[in-house]
Amino acid sequence: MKLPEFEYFSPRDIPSTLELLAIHGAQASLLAGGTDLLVRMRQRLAAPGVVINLKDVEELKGIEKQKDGSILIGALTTLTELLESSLIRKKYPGLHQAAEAVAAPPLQNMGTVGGNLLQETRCLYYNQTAAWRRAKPVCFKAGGETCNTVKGGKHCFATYQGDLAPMLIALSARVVLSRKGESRALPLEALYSGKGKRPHNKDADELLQGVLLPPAEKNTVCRYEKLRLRQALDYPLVGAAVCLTLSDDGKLCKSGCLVLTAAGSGPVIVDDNAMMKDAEITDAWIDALAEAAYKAAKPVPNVLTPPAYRKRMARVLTRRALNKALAR
Amino acid sequence: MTLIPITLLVNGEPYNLTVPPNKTLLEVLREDLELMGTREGCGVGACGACTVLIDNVPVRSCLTLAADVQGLSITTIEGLAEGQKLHPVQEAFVERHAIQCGYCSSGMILTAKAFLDKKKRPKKDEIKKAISGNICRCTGYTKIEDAIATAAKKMTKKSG
Repeated sequence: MKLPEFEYFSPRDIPSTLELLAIHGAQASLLAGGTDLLVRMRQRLAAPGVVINLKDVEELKGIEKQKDGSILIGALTTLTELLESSLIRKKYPGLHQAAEAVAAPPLQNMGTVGGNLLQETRCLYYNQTAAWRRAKPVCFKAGGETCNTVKGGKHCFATYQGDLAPMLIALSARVVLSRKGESRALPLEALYSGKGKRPHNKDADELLQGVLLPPAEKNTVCRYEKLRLRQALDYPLVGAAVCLTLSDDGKLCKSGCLVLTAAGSGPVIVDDNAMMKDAEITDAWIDALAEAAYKAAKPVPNVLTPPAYRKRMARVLTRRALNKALAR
Repeated sequence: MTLIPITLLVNGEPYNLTVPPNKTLLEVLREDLELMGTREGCGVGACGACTVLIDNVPVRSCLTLAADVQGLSITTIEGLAEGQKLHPVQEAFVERHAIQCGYCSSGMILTAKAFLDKKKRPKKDEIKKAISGNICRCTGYTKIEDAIATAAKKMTKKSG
């Protein structure tokens, strides 16, 4: 299947990219690695009139330590570059694990951090060829009035299956969004609407410039655990990211965050410093967090494995992530 | 659609072409340059049959716009052998019977070549991970893994 037709621009810097977005915003798609957008275009799930290729915008690439100790990851940094960064591997090992869990090495060579965060929600009944989709009623995500996953569903239940977002949210990352004449930084979780049909709170004329990681704190441990049928290529069927800052003796969790992926239409924050603030680390505490993950996960039957199994696996993966992070 | 003039450097040869922006590298290789060694499998980046090397990095040519790779060095399976002399990875694939139907072979061989250029003495797990993005429906992978291990030995011997 050929790609649909479009007008093509390949700007060299951020100002000209923002200018193009200001002119073409509503009908334009930004092309980074292409591993999400071009697949959707081939399947006629997207047919933007204008494609703006970002690969020549050097300012959007690279991992840089800022003066205040925070780390700026450019949106066009590839997952392979993220994996090869010794700074990330040493200071943010959880992020290294999450990047390693994305697809497979050749796709990591192409896929970018920004593209991963902005990847579309997915559904077994939506991410199919046009011919396949003709066999079913037009669903909400495709502009119709029905949901093919949840009988009688009143909105789109497509699943968010990004690997990086849960870990980056657990790490309290912020994202920088720019449009012509202005720029704003917001907590990464605010980028996600939790809605299947339109999963991102980003305007059409905005550019995701990069991700800001706060300085790595002493005694911080992180872990990402992912369920998939094959150990490569697959999107997560459910995933759990934890990040904990421990007391010096390691007996107390001073602060922490637990986030799930593929458990709803956006990343699902199970706990952000409620159960995890100044908590004594015990088996009962781990069980309680695993139970909270089980309750928070709301999978629907739109991936290959049944939702009841994925919900139970949210509990298992949470426990596994906590135990591994704490080296128990 | 405005046509875009591009120069592609494929297997060391420059090609001047005018392409529509929606043409993928895979389509240009097969249709314009008639290099049929690069295959289209799934067309959505999942199988790895269309793998080519861009600056010696394996990527999916079905998900790469030809206009995006202007001026970069592209290697296809046709570019590996030197005259009649096969590349050590190709030799090893033949010797270890790592090719059955052959559809995945171009992608597997190129992925393995780029991997072995970086990793001289790979462990079995590292080989498995390197080809984890390439799907083979014939071999069960064992012979491909053997071939890559054999190729690694050939390549270290060759480089001394």
